[in-house]
Amino acid sequence: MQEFFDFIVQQGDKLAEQTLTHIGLTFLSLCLALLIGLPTGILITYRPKIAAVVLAVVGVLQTIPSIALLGFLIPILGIGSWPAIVALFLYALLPIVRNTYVGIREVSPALKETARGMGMTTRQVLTRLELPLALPVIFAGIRTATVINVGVATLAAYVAAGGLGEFIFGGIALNNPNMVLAGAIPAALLAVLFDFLLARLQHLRGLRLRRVALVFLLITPALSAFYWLPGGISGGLMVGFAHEFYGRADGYPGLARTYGLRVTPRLIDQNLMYEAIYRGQVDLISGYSTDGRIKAFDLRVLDDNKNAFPPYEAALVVRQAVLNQYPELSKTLHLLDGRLSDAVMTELNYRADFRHESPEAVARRFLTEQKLLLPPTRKQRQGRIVIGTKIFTEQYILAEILRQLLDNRTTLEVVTKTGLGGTQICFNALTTGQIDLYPEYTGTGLLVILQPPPALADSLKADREAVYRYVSREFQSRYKVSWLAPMGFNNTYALMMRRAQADRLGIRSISDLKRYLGDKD
Amino acid sequence: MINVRHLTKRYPNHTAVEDVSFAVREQETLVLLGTSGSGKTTTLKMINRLIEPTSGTVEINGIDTQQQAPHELSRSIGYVVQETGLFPHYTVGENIAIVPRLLHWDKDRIRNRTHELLAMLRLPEKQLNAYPDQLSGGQRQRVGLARALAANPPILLMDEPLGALDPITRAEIRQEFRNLDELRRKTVVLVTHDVREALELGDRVGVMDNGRLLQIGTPKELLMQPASAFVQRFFGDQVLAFQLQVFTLQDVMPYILPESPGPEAIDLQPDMSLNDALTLLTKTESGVLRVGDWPIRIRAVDIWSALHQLVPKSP
Repeated sequence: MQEFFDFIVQQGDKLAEQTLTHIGLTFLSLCLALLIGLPTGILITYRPKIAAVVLAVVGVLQTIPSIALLGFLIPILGIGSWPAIVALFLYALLPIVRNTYVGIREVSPALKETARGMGMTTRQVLTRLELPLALPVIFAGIRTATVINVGVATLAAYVAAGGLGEFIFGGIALNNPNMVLAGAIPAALLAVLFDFLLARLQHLRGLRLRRVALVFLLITPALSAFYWLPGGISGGLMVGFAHEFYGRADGYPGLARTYGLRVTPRLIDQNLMYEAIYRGQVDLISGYSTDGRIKAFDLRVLDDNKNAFPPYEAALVVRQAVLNQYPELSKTLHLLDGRLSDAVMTELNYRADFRHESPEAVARRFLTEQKLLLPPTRKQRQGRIVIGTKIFTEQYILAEILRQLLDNRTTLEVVTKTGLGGTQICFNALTTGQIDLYPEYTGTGLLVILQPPPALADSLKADREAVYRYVSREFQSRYKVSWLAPMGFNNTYALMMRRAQADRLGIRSISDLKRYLGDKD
Repeated sequence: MINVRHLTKRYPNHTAVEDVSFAVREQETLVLLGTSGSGKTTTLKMINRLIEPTSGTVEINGIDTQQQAPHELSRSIGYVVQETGLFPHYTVGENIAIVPRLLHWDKDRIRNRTHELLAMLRLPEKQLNAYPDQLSGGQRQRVGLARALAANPPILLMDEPLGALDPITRAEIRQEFRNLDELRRKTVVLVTHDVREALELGDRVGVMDNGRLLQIGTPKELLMQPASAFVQRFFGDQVLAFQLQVFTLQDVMPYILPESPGPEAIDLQPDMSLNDALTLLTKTESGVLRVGDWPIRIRAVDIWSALHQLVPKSP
């Protein structure tokens, strides 16, 4: 609890800024929804046939899961404010259109006829009778829309549109509950507050209701003005970092310490960053060094010439017992040593992710090109080995390479068990004997499994080989698990730019970037 | 003043009003009487064009109502519905001011007229800022009438105006309406299914059934010469009560022998209803009345025998 308050105090400025952005985003989209939704709701009361269609359409929009809706909008609108505003606008539309329509329809037909009988025109019946009587229902709709928007607006951080979601996403990525709460609690309080205020408004009557409603309609655009996105541009470059990278000690903070680099990034989901840099919406992103999109989008990975990022060299971790039991296993697996460079792994990821080739096909082509497969022979299978993986493409490809290789060259029966969630799940499966081996990364083994004192971790991480030696020794002595030799690639954090731009600016390494930004400042 | 000719309203599946014609004279009250579904309300709404007729014409002061935009026509015709017709989100004052505001009266004029109407309809000033649901049913009905009268329309259309009231309040308000000078000067078309109300308020009554106007005439004419069995059946087993209500001392006098009334007799006006006269007779000891300066003495039994001669026998 104390830690939570410490966090709030420490991050007070940021929290205030995110809260205002959040309110602004909520009301900006609400404002648009009112501008479109109220007239639509009114118009369809005159056209009952169209009404059914319109209500069905806005109803369907409402049922699209919010993440999916953002997903649909990103190809059209890219990342940043627009997809967030449009998504929130679409969500707010249903309660406003439907309640306007229902509110007006519920006004008694006898009253409407009386109004006409007294000589009111259609417009006068609308403004003097129908709308005032529908106001409580319309406000119930606005209230629903506002509460929905406050909630959904947390997802804006997914597409670099700011708001309290930045803490929530960051907190989840960093496994920092205090950070999650620092975003979630203010968001919940905002929802409760707006719900309460609008509920009171809804219960006013007569002239007072009409006046307060007018004031509300004037305030909404004013609250929208809170929505402006701070930061993003540094020395002429728009920077977009993943929440995890921005907060994690071995990510941006380490980078800033090592190179003295200072940028104010927009925060964005790590899967969307690549798309965003490709579209030119940002110029510099954080990423992973073997991601297939590096090739797909022709990105330049900036050389980490001062080793700011810890090494995450891929190697197989195997239970020692299995190695002892099947001598041919070790011999075969060592065939892969050093064969998978960063470039090769990136290429394989690219084939699977962008060419939509199956991991099996990608693995077969790789093994064939490397001439690692022998002509198939009929074998008597003896013994059984289980290969595990975490849940991402690179791991699936590696597992498939291992399966085909072992199947081809040994008499073992090979089984794969893919998609074992995170590191901890995979590692537990290994130590309990449910699986016999899986591909792991040295940095992960160090920081997630072994968790040495920070001082030791810091001293190790500048040196790849030191990290590898440390994890092999510790895994062997603590868990009876053996690290085979590194396969050759290092899937670590990396800064990336579009190749063309990087070439034009003469930036090849992070030091170059620092120099470029320093010159600008 | 209002001239309705061959008015017909057909819907895809039924005919609501079939070839209805009548005229309403200036300052006359015409009541359209009928059961629900008889077409009386449809006929009324075709006068202010809330419903457009399939065929036939409505003329007001010799001008076809089709010549005017419906909303402009409506502003010159007062419209009273059941007390539920008040705008629930408007105060009493705002409700009364609706038509004057549509006609762009200035504020002072609206205020003066509102106060005038409140006084006339005996509504307390403090209720000006009350909302309809804070009033009693009778008060709401008075406000409804005040709203219809606000802009001084020469014509008033009333659709079951007392329909939502309990019988006692109904009788009270009816009495009040009858005594309002301003209302007497209006040309009124009123729709009701209540025979008593029709006979009491109508100068003439039109009986409708199945979209047709069966008979139109004064209450006395209807009671004395019902044009059909249906009209007669309409009065039902309360026909005697209606007769006592409609006929006056003047009507029965020709059937009573002149005789000196004597000093103990009570003086009465000739236009008193038989009902009221009989009530009085049972209260006085002498049981004798004198009507105006006429040398006549009336006992209860005289009224009964006279009435017997006045009205036709049931077929």
